[in-house]
Formats: sequence, C-alpha cells, structure tokens
Amino acid sequence: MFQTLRSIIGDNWSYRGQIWYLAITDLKKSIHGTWLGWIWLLAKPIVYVCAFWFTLEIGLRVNKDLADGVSYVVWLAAGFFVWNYVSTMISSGSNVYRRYSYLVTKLQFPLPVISNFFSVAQVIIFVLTLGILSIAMVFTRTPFSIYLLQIPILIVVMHVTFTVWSLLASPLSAISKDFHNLVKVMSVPLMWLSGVFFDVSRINVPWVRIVLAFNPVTFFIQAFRAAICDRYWVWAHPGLYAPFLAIFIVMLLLALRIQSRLGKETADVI
Amino acid sequence: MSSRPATYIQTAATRSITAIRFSHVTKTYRLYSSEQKRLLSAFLPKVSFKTVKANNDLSFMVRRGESVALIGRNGAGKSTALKIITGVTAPESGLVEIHGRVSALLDLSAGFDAQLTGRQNLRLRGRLWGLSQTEIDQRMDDIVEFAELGPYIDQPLRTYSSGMRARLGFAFASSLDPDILILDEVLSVGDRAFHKKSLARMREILVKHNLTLLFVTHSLGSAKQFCDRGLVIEQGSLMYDGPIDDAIAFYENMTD
Repeated sequence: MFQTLRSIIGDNWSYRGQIWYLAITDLKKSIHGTWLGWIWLLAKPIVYVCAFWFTLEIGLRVNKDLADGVSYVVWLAAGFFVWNYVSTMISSGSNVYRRYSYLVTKLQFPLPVISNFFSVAQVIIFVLTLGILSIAMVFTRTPFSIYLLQIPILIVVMHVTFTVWSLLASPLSAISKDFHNLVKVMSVPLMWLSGVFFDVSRINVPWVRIVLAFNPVTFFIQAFRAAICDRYWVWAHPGLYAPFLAIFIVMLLLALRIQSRLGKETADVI
Repeated sequence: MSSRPATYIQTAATRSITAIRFSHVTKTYRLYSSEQKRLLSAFLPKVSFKTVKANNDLSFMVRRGESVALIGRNGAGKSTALKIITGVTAPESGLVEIHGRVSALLDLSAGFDAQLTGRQNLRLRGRLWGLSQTEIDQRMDDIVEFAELGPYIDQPLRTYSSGMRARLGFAFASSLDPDILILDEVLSVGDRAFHKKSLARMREILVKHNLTLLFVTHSLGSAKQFCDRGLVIEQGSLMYDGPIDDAIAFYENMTD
C-alpha cells in the first residue's frame, strides 16, 4: 500500500509540468466554440446561487442568524460554490478513466495524474467563483477578515481529498456502470444533506449532527463558511476537523487498495 | 514457462543494439461472468473468473534499425504485444525491455481527444511527448501540411472522417523523430494518395533516422514492402521468426 502511495505521488511529481497544461486544456475544451467563453464556466454556479437566494431569502423568508455584517447571499454562495466543485468531483471525477479513455488505452500515461489534473481544472473554476464571491462581499458590505487567510490551505486540502475520491471511485466506475450510476444518483441527495442550505451546527438532533460531521462535503462547507462568514480558525475546532480526518484516512486507504488491485487492469476493461 | 513477475524496463538508451526485447512475456485477460463479479473482485479475493492468455510465453527481440512485421490472425495477440511495448497495459510475467523513445499509432483515434481540434490535439500530444511549445510550433506547419487537413485542423476531431484521423495521427507520430515507431493497421484507412505519401514518409525516416519499425498489418504486401523480418503470432505465442518472405509463406500455409 505504501508502495502504491509512493508510485501515485511519484507519477504526479514527474508529470507536474503537464498537470496545469492538461487542466487548462480541459477547461478550454469545455468552452470551445462558445461566444461567451470562460463566462460559461461561472454561469451555472452564479445562476443557481441567485435562484436559491431569491427562493430562500425573498420567497420563503428564511431567517438565519449570521455573524455581524454578513449577508445571506454571501453565506449561501460560500456553501454553494463549494458544492459546485464537490458535485463535479463526485459525479464526473468518479469517472475520469472513461472520460479520458484516450489517455488510458492509447498512451502511456500514469492514471493517477488524470484524477489530479481533472480536480485542478475544477479548482480553477472554484477559485474564479471565489473571485465572484469577493465582489458580492464588497457590494453587500460583508467585512473581509483575517480568517480569509485559511482559504488557500482549505483549497489544497479540498483538492487532495477529492483527488483521493477520484482515485478511489474511477477504477470502480470503469469496471461497473452500476457503481457510477449509484454515485450519480446519490449526488443530489448529498447536496441537500450536506448543509449547503442550512447550518449543520444548529441541528437539534445530536446523532444527526454526529453523522453529518463525518460527511466530508459538510466539513468543507462549514470550513469555507468559517473563513468567509463565521470568522474562526478551522484548526481551533477539533470537533469539526477530527471526524473529517478519520474519513479522509479511510478514503485514502480504500483508494490505495483499489488502485493497487485494479490500477493495472483498468486499461484492459475500458 | 516462466512464472516470474513482470519486469518492464524502458530506457532512452539509443546506443543499445536491442530496441525491443520480450522474454517469456505472458499477458492474461480476466473474464468475469458479469460486471458485478468484476466489481466484487476489487474487494473480495475469491471471485471466480476465466482467463484468456493474449500473450503466452512470448519471446522475441528486435534490433535497432530493424523493420519487423507482426503477422497473425485477428485475436492472435499482436495488438496486446504492442500495448505492452507502449506501456498501455502490463503483463503478468516476463521481461520487457524497451530502449529508445516509442511513438505509436495504435488505432485510428490515435490517442486524440475527440472534443479538441486537430491543432489543440497536436499541442496536447506534443506536450505529453515532452516537447516544448517552440518545438511543437516548429513541427506544426509540417504536420498540418502533411496531413492535408486544410481548415479542418481547427475543427473538433469528432467532425473528422476516419481517413482524416489516420492522416493526422500518422503525420504526428512520424514527425516526432522517435527511436521506435509502432503502427497498428492504421495505414489501410486513408485514400490511395495518402497511402502512397505515408509509405514514402516511412521510407524516408527509416533510412534517415535509423528507426526501428514494428508494423502490424493484414496487408502482407505492405509488410513485404517495409519489413525485412516477420514474426508470426498465433494464440499469443511466437510461431515463426525469420525473413519476411518466409514469414509470409509460413503464415499463408498456416491460414490455408
């Protein structure tokens, strides 16, 4: 298992020069031939946030006690933009070997690098959405605090976590469409259960709070809101990061096992 | 038969006399009775499956500068051997040595992304091959001109015909100055004029760059034109290794 980990890190290190290029190429591919170009990458999350903000705050008059000066739309967007990255990684990131089958079956290309550059491409979109969020913060007069400094660390941790997820799920999706369909079906309920639209820490049922604490999506939504809205350091709250760390270690061990068992077989089954 | 675990050695050493060495290479495909069983095999050690040996104790050696045809029926194991050489798939046992840089055209899609344009694909593949942006740009005009794609070079590959893909793939693979060029049945697709042009390009690079060519084809005429030596493969094993004329005669006798 340690050897698999070393090989995954080694492959990514030796392809470090190409990872950025592959990520940018992937984004360019998705907007090729469009008039609005890069705007399309941001259109979906922005439109969704606007729609949810209108429905929840204006229509349903959802009230939420927010920290001083934080507007509801900023709080909502901080969670939804995280979800936008996560949902792509859960659905498409779990199927990268089929998505990039030409790299798997036609070229000598290290498969773990595919998960990495795919996530980098999604992180680029996420960072752009954070740029939009900072503009929203200026307009809504939401204060910029020192806690924003933890965002780069959170981005790296999120990237590593969902790259590990992709390493775990992609070989399984390559050999089983059932598995990939299950992942896709579960992604929407996961959004509703992960605290994008509510504050998990305010749930009154203790066991539900405990279960949700082990959901990595919930962790990242809470962590980014800690940096942007709630203003505290994530590492000062072991109750927040300890369950996430436990799940991350389990995910990593599973990913290494699956990579070592199925990694070499993947090109034969696609 | 050797049962030692597979060893794959790839070096850039172009001074070695040997370009490719297969020593007792066995590649087995696992066939599960259902997709569910294959999924379970990721977690449980005792899931039953059948095996097919695509390469069975296969041994051969190709010297630098040689042009060798791999001849055999469909399913004989030729393409699997090429995939092992290119590192796309891994054998269970045996030793594989590759000395020099390999450029391969394993099928019509040529490892290109259907959503990218021809030009974007060339840039991407060039980067993956290890070329700098300048080196890619230097080759670009030549590749585009050779592939005769005209304005299609800036169109997504999904709009290309199979002949156009083969032209682009061959133009790219042959422009990289590889030490070892591997072609799997790709030249049979383009039109006659391109076929002639490709053969001329192959002749040119074979002479100029001391290239090692591994050529898989069902066109025995093409094999004869380019290759000095033929390897006849049947059911994953080497049946004959010798001069191309004799290899073709052996194959024709075998299939009669």
